[in-house]
Order: sequence, then structure tokens, then C-alpha cells
Amino acid sequence: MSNVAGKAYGMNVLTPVPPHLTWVQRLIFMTARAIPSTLAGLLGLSLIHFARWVIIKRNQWPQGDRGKPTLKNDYVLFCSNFNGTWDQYIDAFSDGIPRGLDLFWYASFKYPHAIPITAFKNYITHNQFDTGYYYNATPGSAQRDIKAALKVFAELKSLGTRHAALDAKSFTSEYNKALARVQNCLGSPGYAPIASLDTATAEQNRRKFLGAQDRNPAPRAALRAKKSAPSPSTTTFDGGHCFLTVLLPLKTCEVVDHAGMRSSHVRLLREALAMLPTAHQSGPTEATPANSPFAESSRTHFARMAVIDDAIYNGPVPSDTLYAAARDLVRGTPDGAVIKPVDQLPSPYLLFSVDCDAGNEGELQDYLCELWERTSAELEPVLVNCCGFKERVTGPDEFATYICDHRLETTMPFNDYWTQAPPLKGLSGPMLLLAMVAAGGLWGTCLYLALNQLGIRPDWSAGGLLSGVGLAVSSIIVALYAAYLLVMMRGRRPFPEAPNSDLKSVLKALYVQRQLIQFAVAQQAPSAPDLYGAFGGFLNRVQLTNLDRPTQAPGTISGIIS
Amino acid sequence: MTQTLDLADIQGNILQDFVSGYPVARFLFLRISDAAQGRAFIYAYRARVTTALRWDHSDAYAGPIQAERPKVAINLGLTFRGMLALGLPTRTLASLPSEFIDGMRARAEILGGEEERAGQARWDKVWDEPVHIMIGLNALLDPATGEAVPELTQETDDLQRLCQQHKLTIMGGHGTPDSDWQDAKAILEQNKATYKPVPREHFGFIDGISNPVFEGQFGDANADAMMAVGQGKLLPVGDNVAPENRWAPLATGEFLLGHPDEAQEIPGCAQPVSLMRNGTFLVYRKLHENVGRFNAFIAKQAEGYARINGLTQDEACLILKAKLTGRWPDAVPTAVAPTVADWKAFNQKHAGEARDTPYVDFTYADDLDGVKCPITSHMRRANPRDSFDNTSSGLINRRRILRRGVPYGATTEQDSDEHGIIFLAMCASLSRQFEFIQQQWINYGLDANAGNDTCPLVGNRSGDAKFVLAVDPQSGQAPFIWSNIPKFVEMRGGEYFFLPSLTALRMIGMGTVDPT
Repeated sequence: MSNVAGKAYGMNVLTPVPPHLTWVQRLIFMTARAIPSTLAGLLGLSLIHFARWVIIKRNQWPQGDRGKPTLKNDYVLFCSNFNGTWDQYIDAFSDGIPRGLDLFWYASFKYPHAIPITAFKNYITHNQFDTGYYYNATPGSAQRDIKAALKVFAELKSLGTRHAALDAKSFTSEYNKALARVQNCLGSPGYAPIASLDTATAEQNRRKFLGAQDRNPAPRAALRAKKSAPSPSTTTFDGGHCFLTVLLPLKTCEVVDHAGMRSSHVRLLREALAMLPTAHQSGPTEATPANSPFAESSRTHFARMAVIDDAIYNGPVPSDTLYAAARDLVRGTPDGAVIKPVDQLPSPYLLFSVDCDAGNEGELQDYLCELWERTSAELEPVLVNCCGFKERVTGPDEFATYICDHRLETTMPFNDYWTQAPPLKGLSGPMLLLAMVAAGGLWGTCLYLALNQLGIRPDWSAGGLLSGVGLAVSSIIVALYAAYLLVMMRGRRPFPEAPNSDLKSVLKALYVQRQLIQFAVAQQAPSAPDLYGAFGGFLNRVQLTNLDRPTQAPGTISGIIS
Repeated sequence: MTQTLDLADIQGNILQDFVSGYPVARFLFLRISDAAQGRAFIYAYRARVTTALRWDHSDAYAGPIQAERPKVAINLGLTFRGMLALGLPTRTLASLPSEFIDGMRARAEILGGEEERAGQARWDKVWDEPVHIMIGLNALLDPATGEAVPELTQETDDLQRLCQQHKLTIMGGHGTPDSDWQDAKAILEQNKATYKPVPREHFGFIDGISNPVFEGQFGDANADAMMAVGQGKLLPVGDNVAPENRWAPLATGEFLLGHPDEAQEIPGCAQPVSLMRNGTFLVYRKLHENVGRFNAFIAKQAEGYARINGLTQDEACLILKAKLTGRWPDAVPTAVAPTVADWKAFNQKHAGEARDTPYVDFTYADDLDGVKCPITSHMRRANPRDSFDNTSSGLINRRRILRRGVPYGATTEQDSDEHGIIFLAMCASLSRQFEFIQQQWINYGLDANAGNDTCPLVGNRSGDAKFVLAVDPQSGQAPFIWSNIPKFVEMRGGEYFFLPSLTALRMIGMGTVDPT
């Protein structure tokens, strides 16, 4: 079990939200998406590969084997794949975009605000739950490294198409200019600095438990053609990626005999997660022959499985002291602790969260079927501990259906693999105003005419005044509601796909970047003909337009598929 | 607003460095054998510990003079093991930061990865046993002899006597040949019959020019504000901040415990607060410099660089050295003077100026590509200023360290000779400030968009170490890339110390530390 996979940290935070405020939180997320300039600060930090906020309404927890969950609160689940240390990450938000942070946790109970930092870090620590299994397809490359590689890839593709048509002297000039444009994008991949001595030690100690058997990797199929389908209306799909969030209830009603011990499904699931090989993301894991089963997939950027033991509780929200004291006085009740109900989940859940390349429902089905085809042997010992799995999942299609049945809508997805400022158009002020005026005006006019028919006119009499005020107030409400609907509708629209942000292109870009570094180091001030010829050889070797090979292998620091 | 600091309670060398006025240093490490005797030693020795009370004016300080200039200025630091040996309460010890409890040796993988761990085989023998107490003696220089004033020997003798009396051992095993203490001395220039210290280190760079400035450091708000130019924090231009007024002193709590820090809170520290208040943490790292290797590498790279750019070998050497560190050897910053011509112009313009402000007053906002000062140069890695968001130093303010280091040994071309820098740094949080810079900015390149590339001057060398000298994309030149950079700096031992306030020293000496 580790929250760290190469250069990424997988953070999971669950915060309770009072049900009457959930719509406000949702509106905040949709507003951020509808007016994307609000995300500028987040994009600028360049710390996050993929992140998501998921609103889980209290009736959305799937039913396990202990009856329907009865919760008082809604919850917000936050899953992030970020770079840097835990402290650095939170420091960056607190120092950089504290108000944005406060907005995204606005409705959560007893959220302490991002400044000062200690209370905030304590809150996150309290509400964070560990990742039981974490997969990173690009463990040797942080988000910045990926963006750098994508810039290099784009630059080289352009240079590659022009190579044949140029003479040696012109090519040298073009090459120099191209290299200068990406001169700050030539960082080499490698291991992450250790997150802590303890993480390093734990990873070292895990090695001997992971066994020596290698897998027989299934032959790799070519990337399936993207099926055209209508643009999805759920924010689970965004920017060409699927932010799949799945909650699977764990079996709790039976004990299981396993390895000579009486055990429980929850125990077994945790153990199965602990034994699942991770990506080849560090010295100790590279020495383990088996790579993660998710490395079989060429569409899985990140995947994680985490056990949610219970709803996370932050303590009761106290009522206003003066009010409570006054009430005590009036009723004659003494001081003392008031017991308020604590939310509890009837059984633990497995959170299964994937950031993959799937732009619509059809592609997601395809992805899930392929995942099962390739990894059922590894995933089955884990998932068999979830309710209904054994009975229902008999093949890839059944797996896809099972997963989708337990799917939640990802409320607010976030991914930034844009090499330039992303072209995100939002609602403009004038447009919003126009909508409000139109809606409010239309309603006001209709109501006025209707009232007129009934003989009621706004004037200075009591009845007239009332109708006048009613007209004005209801028009304003309608206008606000129109704005609300517009923001919600616009917020649901998926963002455009960042070029080359699918995993195969990312891996190719990382491979190409590494090759270019070697090439550039070797070619310091060559003669023009030498450079021209050498670059031709380079193009031949790296095959820029072939995403299948040669390229970087998923789940490795710098492994190559040749 | 800022509180006036209790200068009599704070150890010297924190607010104002010792090395400028006291160019000769001697570090002794002590081992306690008996807790009560150890406490008695602390109680007796604390009278000699130099405080932050001022003994002279400068253009930055016009406040009251409240102390006499000592001939030898003294610091006293404690390791975790030392505090344990002195019998401090369990609750106090358990609430100290975990990196301080670990000690520097255990933190090798964080500070320098596998390489630093492997390099521990070459640490001085003094580190074989846990160190408890550090005594830093900083002596005036006798300009006639180029040696320390005789009071240094006197203080050393006094210390030896006191240690013997209280059953402390002065730990031997510093350097080669074995010595009972680590001597260090600023590099001296000889002008006829007088010696003068210069703030240079063995690679030939003027060092220690820029240091963070914090509230209360120079006695009043105006002085702090003046010194903060180029050294404090950079505020975003806004309603209350005019473009020419962007520099401000950092919060005191970044460098002294018990005061509000840049996160707008007084950060938690071990209990009781009275033990930690006005104290700070000290990093001691003996860094050997491979001078010969460095000069040879620069010379070799300079050949290629000179040829490509039509320069003389000397010019190329100077330019490469400047690109690598971010400053020309005389400390002129490349961010202000990127070319040799600019460098000469800078020196002409600022000739004879008393203050160092021109050397530190700059930002990187107009150099986001690192054409003037490479993004991965040593100086820019250690203090990125406004590089991260181009509007302020907001993401850097909580990652600054005070540097108080001194060179040791003589400058020779022999890499096996004993010479280098005793690197000393001070900060309120070892992990958030020093360790972060060391692990994330020196030995890693993420925040510089440089993947795993390390600092070309002091960084690790696992893998194919490289350094890119960025060029102006309009120039038509290709960037110059160094590869297979050899290791210039090797760690020869170090530790984390706590520099207690004078009040804390008394409490420790009396044995009355009580977190209840």
C-alpha cells in the first residue's frame, strides 16, 4: 500500500457536506468550468496530472450486503494525481491559490480555509484516506515533464516533415531554432526523489513478498479506432479522457478461510491490493519482474484502488453559542454535551478510480472490456471480495456492465496536458446578462399580462403594491434561475481534447524526447551535412508518426518497446 | 506590526553573520557522558555564548550599541542526541521535528539519494559516534599575521578545561590528518604586509552575497525595508504595492521559532514554547570541493564553447562559470549583466559603491527562458525569486535559508587536499526550508522544468548529468549542452543542530525544562 507511484502522489480526501448546501458546491464547480478563466491559477501551478471532485449524494452509495446506507450528509470525494511532496502540494495551494481552494471545499463541514496552513493540513490529514493500490503509467515523468515532452514531440514532428525538403545549410538553421525553442524542455526522466525515508523503506521491504513470477503478456492489439458517438452529457468525460469513479461495496457477511487463517473479505481485499505489483517506478520495483497489470493497457494513465472504511467525521458543527444558551435559559435545560448523529457507512467500499483515454460511452465500454481481457487474472482476486462480483462477472461485457452499474458521475474533472494556454472559451459577462434579462423580462411580461387579465394592476394600492413587488421579485428569481441553468449547462460541456494527450502519444513523446536529448548532446556544433545526415538517421530510428513502436513502455521509467 | 526582537536572548550569527567580522572559525563537537554534568557545563558555558546585541553601527543599523565587540564570537548548538543526553523531558523530545530527531546521517537518501548514502564511507571519523554539542568559535583576524587573534587559543583552552571538569569529550576525527576540531578560515588576500579576508570560496566565486532579510533583523522597519531590496520577498504589484516598492522583509518566524511566519501563523514547535522561542535550527555540512576537477572541466567545455562562439579561452571560462552559478566570479548577477560587455559596464557603473544592493536587486520576470541566467544554474535553483509565477515570490517565501558558511583549507589544484566549505544554514523548519531546497531544487529539476537534472555546481551525479545553456531563440544558435558533468562537491559529514535562545540555555542548564 502506498500513496506514491514514481513522481505522482495519489491523494484521496472525503469531506462531508450538509445536504442543503450540495447544490451550491455543484454550482461552484460548474461555474469554474463555465468561466474557465477562473482555473488559470490551478493551471499555472503545473502540479497535477489528473484530478477530480465527485459529489456523492447520500443516496448514491451502492447497496452492499448490509442494507441500504442511511447517511445524513452528502460527501465530496477528491482524488488527485499530483507531483512533489504532500507538503509542497498543499503549500503551493495555500501560498498560490488559497481562494480557489476555499471555493472547491466551500460547502464542506468545518473546512478551516487554506490560510493559516497548519489547521488546513490537519484537516486534510484527518479527511484523507490511503490509496491501497496506485498505478502510474508514466512514473518517471511529472506533469511538467510530460508537457515538456509534448512540446518537443510537436517541434520534432514539424521539423521532421520539413527535413526532406530542406538543404543541409537551411536545415541546420531550422534545427538550431527548433532546439532553442525547446531548450528548457530537455530534462531527463528518472526516479522521483524519495517521498520520505519510510516510503523508501516500505517499498524495499515489499519486494520479497511480490514473488518472482513474470506474467505472459498478451499480444498487444493496435489502438482501437475511436467510435464516433454523440458528445457525452456527463462530466465524467472531459478532454478526451474518462474520469471513471466507481464505488464497489465490500462483502461483510461471511468469513473466509484463506492461507490457513479465518479471514474477512475486507482483509483479503486489502492484502490482495498490497500484493498487486506496481509499475516499475523505482529501484526496488524495477527489480521485481512483474509489472502492474494496468501496464497492459495503452489507455490507462492512472488507476487507483482505495478502501473507504467509513464516512469521515469531522465532529459536530456547533450551534451558535448565544442562541443555544438562550434556549437553555428559556427551557430551563442545563449545560452539557449535545449528542448529534454520526454518519456511518454500513460496510466498507472499494473506490476504483481510473484516468483513461475514452471520450464517450462506447469507448469506455471498449476500454473496460479490453481491461478485463488482459488483466482478469490479477484483478479477480481483488474484486471477488466485492458484492455481486462473483455472481455477475463472467466475461468482459459483464465486467463492463458491473463497473458501469457502480459508477458515479465525476462532478469536476481536471487535466492539464496543454503545451500552450488551453483555448477554453467560457460564458461571457454580456451573454450571461442577456440571458438573465431575456428570461426575467419574458416572465415579467407574461405575469404582467396575466395579472392584467385578472384585473390586477401594479399601482399604489395595497393589492397593487403587493402585485408590483411580486412581479419584480419573481422576475429577479427567474433571471437568476436562468443564469443558474445556463452556467450548469455550460459547465457540463466537455473541454476540448489537448493535442497528443492520449497515453500512446504521451509515451511516444517521452520516448522521442529522450532520443532527442542523446542526439543533441552528441551533435554539438556539427557540420551542416553531418547534422543533416544524422538527423535523417534519427528520424528513421524514432519513427515519429508510429505510435506503436518504437515508444516508451507504460508503467516504466524509461523502458522501450522497439 | 513587528515586535522588536529581544536581542539579548537570541544567539549571535543569526541576525548578523559572524563570518564578515570574524573570518577565522573553529568548530568543536562535544560528547556528554553524564546528564547532570552536561547540564552544569551548559549552565556555566552560556555566559560565553555571544548574543545578537549590537556592538557596532553600519549603514543598515543605527540603533543602540549594547555590547562590546568580543575577540571571539561563540555559538552553542545541540543535536537531538545531545538534548536526549541532557535529560530533557520525553514529551519535549517527542515533539521535536522528526528530521531533527533522525539527524543528518539518517536523512542521506533525502538530502542526496543513494549517492550521499554511499559517500558516507568518506565522512570524517568524528561522525562515527553521535555528536551532542557544537561549539562554534569565531575569531577576529590579526591583519599582520593572517591568523586568528590569540584569544582563539585561549577560548579553546578554556573550553578544554571546562569539558574536562564536566566530563565531556571533545570528539576528534576532523579531516585529514585527524584533528580535534574543524578549523576554517575565509580566503585571504595579501596586500604588502597586511592580510584581508575576501568572501571567496575555492572555485573562485565570491560567495554569500545574498541572504534573506526578515522583520526585526536590522532594528527598525526602515532598515529592514532597505536591506530587503533584492533579499526579502517580492510582493505582487497591486493596490498597496507600487512597482518600485515590491520588496519587503520576510516574516521573522521563517528564521526564528516562536514568531509569526509567512503562513500567517506562529508555527507549532516542541513544547514548552519557552524552550524553542528565539531559537533556530542550524545545518552543518562539510562540503569538500574538487577544485582541480572543476577547473579542468570548465577548461575543457570552454574549448568547445570558445570555438563555437568565437571567444578566447579565458572569456569562455568566465562565461561558463557565470552561467553555471548565475553570477560572474565577482558576484555580478548574470540576470542583470548577461554578457561580458554588460559585466564590465556594471562594474564601471557601480564602482566604489559601499552597499551590495545592485548585486541582489533583480528579478527573473524578464528572463523566463533562462537566456540571461539559466533556469538550472545554482543561484536560480536555490532561490527562484519570482520564476514560478512571474508576479511574486509567493511560492518561494517559505523556502529561504540564512547562509553563514566559511571556507576551510587552502586553495590548491589537488582534489585530495583538505579544502572546501563548511556550509552553515539556519531556518525555522529544516524539512520545509533546507531539506526541500536540497532535495527538490538542487538534486532534482521538477520545478525548473528540467526533469531529473541536478544542480551543475553542487548536485548529484547519478545518471547522465547534464546542463543546458539556454540561448536567445532568435539568435539562430543552438543551445550548448554539457553532459557527463563530474562531481565537484562531496559531503564529508554533517549534522542538524538546534541553536537555543539564552533563556533556553539557562533552562536546560538548570534542568527545569517542563512542558506541563
